Amino acid sequence: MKNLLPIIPAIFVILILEWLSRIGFFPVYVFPAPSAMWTAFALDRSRFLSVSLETLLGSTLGFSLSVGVGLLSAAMIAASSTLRHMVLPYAVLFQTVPIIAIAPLLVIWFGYGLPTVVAASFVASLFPIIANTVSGLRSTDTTLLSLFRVLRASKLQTVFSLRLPYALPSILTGFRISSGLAVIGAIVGEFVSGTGLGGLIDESRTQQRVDRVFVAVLLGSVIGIVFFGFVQILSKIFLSRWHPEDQK
Amino acid sequence: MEPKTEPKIVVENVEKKYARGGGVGPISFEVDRGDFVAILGGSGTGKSTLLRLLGGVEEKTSGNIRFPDTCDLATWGFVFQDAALLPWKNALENVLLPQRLRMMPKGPMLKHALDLLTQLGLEGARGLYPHELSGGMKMRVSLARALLDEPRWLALDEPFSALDEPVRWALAEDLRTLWLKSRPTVFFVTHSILEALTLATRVLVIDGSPGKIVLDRRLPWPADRTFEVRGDPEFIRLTQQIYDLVAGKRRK
Repeated sequence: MKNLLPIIPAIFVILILEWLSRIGFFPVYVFPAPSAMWTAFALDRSRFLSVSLETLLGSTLGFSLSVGVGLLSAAMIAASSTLRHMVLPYAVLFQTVPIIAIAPLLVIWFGYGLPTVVAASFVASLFPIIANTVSGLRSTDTTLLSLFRVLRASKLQTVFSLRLPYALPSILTGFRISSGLAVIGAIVGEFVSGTGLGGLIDESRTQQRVDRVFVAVLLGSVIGIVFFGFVQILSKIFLSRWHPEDQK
Repeated sequence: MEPKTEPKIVVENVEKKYARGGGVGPISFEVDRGDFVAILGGSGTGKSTLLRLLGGVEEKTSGNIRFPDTCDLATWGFVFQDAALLPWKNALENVLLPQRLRMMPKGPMLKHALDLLTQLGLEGARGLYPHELSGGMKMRVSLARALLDEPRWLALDEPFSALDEPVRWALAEDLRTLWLKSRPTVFFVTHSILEALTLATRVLVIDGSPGKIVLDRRLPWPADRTFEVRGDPEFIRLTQQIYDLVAGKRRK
């Protein structure tokens, strides 16, 4: 029942916006009525769905690449303090560059289409995975490390039976943050490469079709929610039995 | 059960120094098989460091620790101050951790692990995760894990310090029962003079920084004594003597 609670404010906001639009509070070219958005969606449903699938594919590939590269880099950074000192400042620097600023460069490097979208999604979502995984791997309880030393555990056993499971809540927090950023990155990449929801938003903007822009933005949010939900399911599977925060 | 006559652990001029200061030693003593040695002292005197040196968790700076041939590293059981349970394993899985790390089949040890949990009053808690256990229950799981391999040497680092009085003494009673059953050699670090004199057969008092032994006393009461020993005049005299050594000096 609690899972349905967020629907209540959504219904409330939709009804208010519909009413404000109908009494002419907003000009239709600034904020169309929710019913007009629905009509725009219904009239071009197949296009909306196909571009949403493109965005979903781009974000999924970008996020998966971030997970693979992020976990591997984080494991190496956590294992070597020299590497950590060499690499981490640049990872932070990289994070401060806005994705919208480098998206045009990505088009030059990767061309129009999926590779640019995946690259933008990857760049936007990589850092939180590295930062959270490094932090998790380095925060292993010192008494547990002593216990593993007493029990003569090998280095591999210490990594796979202690450090990694201990870091899991942090790693999944990184996934959670990155899942939303992966969708944002993909849409920004599409904006410049003219595909997916990003391309549709840009196209509708130039045609002054604010209703279609809103539909595309909402579909982007739905993809974000799907990603977030997927990470929540992962958290539920791996953490719910022992991590009180994830039992809620 | 009487202890078998076996060679002693010999600690010769062992010293551990830290760059930040403190540590322990040089320190020398011998311990017989089956002894219950309480190591007492104030904070920062190196009691836990000494235990970690004995258990091989830390490297000594100098000196020599000679173990009997029968004492390989797998025969040590270790109990830490804060239970040190893996949060993602339930009570039974935590008890079986030493065996899992040695990649041996669970079967033969499973019964022993369940017996230990039963002896420690945890038969109904075997499937519970650490966050579902009370402080005393966690410490019992930790004790069961240390005893899984029937260790010849058991190191306990202030295991009851975070527990309230009734739980602390219930656990002390459990520890004594288990010790009397198989008579491992116990090194028991504690701040509590009462706990040390009630449980141990020998007391080492460490003071200073780096810590050195200021009192080494074999206690006159039988190993299977009851808690009534606390009324013995010698018990009261020793309590006062140790108190003066570890705390009284600072009071003056």
